[in-house]
Amino acid sequence: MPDNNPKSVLSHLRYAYHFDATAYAAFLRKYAQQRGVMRIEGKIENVLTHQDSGNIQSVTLENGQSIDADFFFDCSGFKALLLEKTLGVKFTDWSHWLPCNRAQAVASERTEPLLPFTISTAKTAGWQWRIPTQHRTGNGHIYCRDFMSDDEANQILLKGLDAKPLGDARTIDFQTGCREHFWFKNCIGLGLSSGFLEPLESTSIFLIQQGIVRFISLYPDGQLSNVLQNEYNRLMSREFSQVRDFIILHYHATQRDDSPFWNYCRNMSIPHSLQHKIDLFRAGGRVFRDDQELFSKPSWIAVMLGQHIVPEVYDPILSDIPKSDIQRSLDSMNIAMKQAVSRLPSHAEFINKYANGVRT
Amino acid sequence: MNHNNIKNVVIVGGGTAGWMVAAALSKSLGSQHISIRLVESEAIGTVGVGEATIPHIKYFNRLAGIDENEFLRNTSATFKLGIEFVNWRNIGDSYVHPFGPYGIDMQGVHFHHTWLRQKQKGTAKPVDEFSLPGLAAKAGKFQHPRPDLKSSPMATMDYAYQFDAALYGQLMRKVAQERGVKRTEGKIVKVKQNTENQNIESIELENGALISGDLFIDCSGFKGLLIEQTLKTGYEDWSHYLPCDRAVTRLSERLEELPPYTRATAKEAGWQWRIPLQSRTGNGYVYSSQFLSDDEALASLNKDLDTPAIAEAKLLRFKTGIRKKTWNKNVVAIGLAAGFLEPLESTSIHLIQSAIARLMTNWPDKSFNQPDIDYFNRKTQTEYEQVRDFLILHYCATKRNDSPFWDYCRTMDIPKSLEERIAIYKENARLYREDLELFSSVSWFAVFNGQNIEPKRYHPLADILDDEKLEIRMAELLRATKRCVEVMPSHEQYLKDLCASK
Ligand SMILES: Cc1cc2nc3c(=O)[nH]c(=O)nc-3n(C[C@H](O)[C@H](O)[C@H](O)COP(=O)(O)OP(=O)(O)OC[C@H]3O[C@@H](n4cnc5c(N)ncnc54)[C@H](O)[C@@H]3O)c2cc1C
Ligand SMILES: Cc1cc2nc3c(=O)[nH]c(=O)nc-3n(C[C@H](O)[C@H](O)[C@H](O)COP(=O)(O)OP(=O)(O)OC[C@H]3O[C@@H](n4cnc5c(N)ncnc54)[C@H](O)[C@@H]3O)c2cc1C
Repeated sequence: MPDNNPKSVLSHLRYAYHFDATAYAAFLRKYAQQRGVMRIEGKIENVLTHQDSGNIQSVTLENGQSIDADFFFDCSGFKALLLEKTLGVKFTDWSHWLPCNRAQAVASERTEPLLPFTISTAKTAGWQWRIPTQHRTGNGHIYCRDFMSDDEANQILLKGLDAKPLGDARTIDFQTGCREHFWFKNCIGLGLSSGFLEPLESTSIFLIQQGIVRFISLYPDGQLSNVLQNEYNRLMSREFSQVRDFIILHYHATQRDDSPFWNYCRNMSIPHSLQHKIDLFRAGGRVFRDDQELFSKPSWIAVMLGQHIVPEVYDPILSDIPKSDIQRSLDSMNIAMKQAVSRLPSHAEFINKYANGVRT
Repeated sequence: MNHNNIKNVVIVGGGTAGWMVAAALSKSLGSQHISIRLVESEAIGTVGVGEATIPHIKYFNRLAGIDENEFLRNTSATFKLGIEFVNWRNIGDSYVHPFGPYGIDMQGVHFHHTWLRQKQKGTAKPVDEFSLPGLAAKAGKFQHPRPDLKSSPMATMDYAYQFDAALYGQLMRKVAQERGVKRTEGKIVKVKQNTENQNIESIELENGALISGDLFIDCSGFKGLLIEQTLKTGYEDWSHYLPCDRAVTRLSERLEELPPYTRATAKEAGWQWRIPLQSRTGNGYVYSSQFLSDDEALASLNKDLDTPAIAEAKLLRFKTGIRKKTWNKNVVAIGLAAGFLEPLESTSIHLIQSAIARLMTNWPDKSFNQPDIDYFNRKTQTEYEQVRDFLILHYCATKRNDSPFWDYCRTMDIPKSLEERIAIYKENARLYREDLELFSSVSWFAVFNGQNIEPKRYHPLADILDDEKLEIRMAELLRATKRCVEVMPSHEQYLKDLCASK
């Protein structure tokens, strides 16, 4: 756990989780139901809209039950039952920047040691994730079917496992991009219905969370003012494009030339916003976080340097400091971090204690 | 060492901007490997106004290594807890824009939602009574914030200063010269540019002396000696939004009980400031020459002085707006050379400070990397626009219809960014829009509410408390705030004690 003492290097530690998404959804379901959320089982067959306003009035289930509401959240996944099928909100396609469009996912047995990080390995026409949870490891191969057959993708996935698979791989198709409007009429799309960015930086759940927070802070009344709707759409579309740029960076800033896929990524044109960021970094190592941007400076630096974008010069402000002084302070930071790490328990030990109620 | 590093910095102008830049650069860059020279002309002089500040100035003073007591003694400074706006929404009305939050946030929503709920019920006390800096200002009281008193309003109040700009300039000059900044007195008569890339190579003084540099900071005031007269950068005029273009200023005697706040009183064709210093009072009428003659303005200023005048009046002309690029080639314009926004919210010195910080983070080398420069310019533009919008709000959200000037302001077109912001506030009292804005949501609320913009509704989360609990909590808050004011010493006494101590 991060240290509260701001002097400790451990105070800079930040962490997130790897978890079982199905179990998390079940956990949230219980939480919501305890607080009065009513759950209705059934398949929606029909959606009714108001003649004048075009707002959604009700949804009808297979069994004929009709459900009325003032406001709807479309969380129906890729098909976007309300936003697209009913309200006709268009999709902005970004696959020329992020061409992957299919995934095969499979779980495998847990391995030791339990790693506290995700591994993402670039492959011939995409990349493969490895996500360790307490009971199993999640794996998936994301690829572009224009550059690779499903069979080959499957072989790559299985070859990349470090333990026995638990069952057969599941195939998921997707298209990268987002809705032209995230809030339209009396409906907000959240989750896969609102857009998709591949899980390279594990951002989808975060984008759901942002949508919820923005909605709560804007909270409309029955009149559903356009002012609030425009503001919501402005904020969410900025959020999506910022994440998009960060993900594109991983593909574009590559030296790989071993496959047509990577040749495409290396040579494709990229959004201006990203080009500008790369230029600033390449010239003088500068990174600026735009307004309310998800990814902070260290994130951009990690990927820029990781992808071998090396600044031509370092900040001239440092030029007056003797090299030996700089070396000394870098060394001492490095030593302090190594020492701190050597005192930490292993990830598996920590989880064991912590999950069993022993706070460290 | 990189041969491409900037070795010679020339600061053109020795007003508040020039000397602040010199103090900050010499402090951060040292003077071992870099030479910093400032050129100024006593014959030309400085603009000589600029006395009221906002809380961020404290960070700048700390960066420059200035001790607060020394600063208070040397610049005739007083403490400032906010600005009182008189006659802005209507003649006879007044409100305070305080430095520090109102009340405390409850149930996860900003305090103003809770207050708006009470207001809709008809039980609310004026919001000024929930502001410790606001109440203390009007009571003439001051003491430093007490961040150690966790849940007390004393912990979150903030403050700035009012000071003598000329003395502040001298203090900055002392700091800068002690750290090796060289000062050259003389009038610049010629500027030499590189024939290929048009960068500035050197400036020539009246006495024939030639001063060359790698980087030039243009702090030459309104005229923009390098950025405009030499580089012809161009100016974006905002006077259709902020029509005031002149100020007549005059010093008067010291106020008896020093008020710890600035007063801005709206008048027939602009507004008048009153800034209390330890030694004297600064006054000025900012007006629009389209709607008022200079003679009328002077007569009106004189009539509204609270203490007898002690100097001749001075007339200043300006045009509100921003240089199309504040960084062009190897010239960075800072201060009045970069742009002008009237001192209604005392932001100019802050904009200087913020430009310095931005220059430090984007410190160039001799190749003058264009993406860095573009970034700098974009950020400067955004910052000026945000301040501009905040200033416009004071003018456009008025009910005054007693003069052609106010009729213009009430009905003029406003920027879309501001229009949207007002619409959102009117809809559901939401304030927050962007990160990194100079004025916090509390400031926006102070002015929205002060100018009587009524939101349709407040956030539903503010309804969670039941009525009875709400009334109890709010009454407790009022009492706590009042009690803090009671125990505070008077501003007058507090200053005396501080300035006497070492
Ligand atoms: C390959 C891949 C890997 C991913 N990895 C990550 C990751 O590592 N991190 C991360 O944050 N995100 C990741 N995501 C994204 C994440 O899976 C989704 O954001 C998340 O699952 C939310 O999905 P959802 O609820 O929007 O849609 P879904 O899970 O598709 O849910 C849709 C719901 O709508 C219901 N529904 C649909 N139609 C009807 C109907 N007609 N009647 C009634 N009900 C209906 C369905 O029954 C279902 O309950 C990944 C996505 C993919 C494709
Ligand atoms: C009416 C009014 C009220 C204001 N009130 C406030 C306030 O309350 N709070 C606040 O923060 N700000 C206020 N300001 C703004 C503030 O005064 C300025 O931001 C601040 O004084 C900085 O000015 P400057 O240094 O850029 O320019 P100046 O003070 O004009 O300095 C210009 C310098 O350049 C030199 N120079 C010019 N030409 C030459 C040449 N050819 N050769 C050599 N040297 C040359 C001059 O000698 C001088 O040293 C106010 C401004 C006005 C007009």
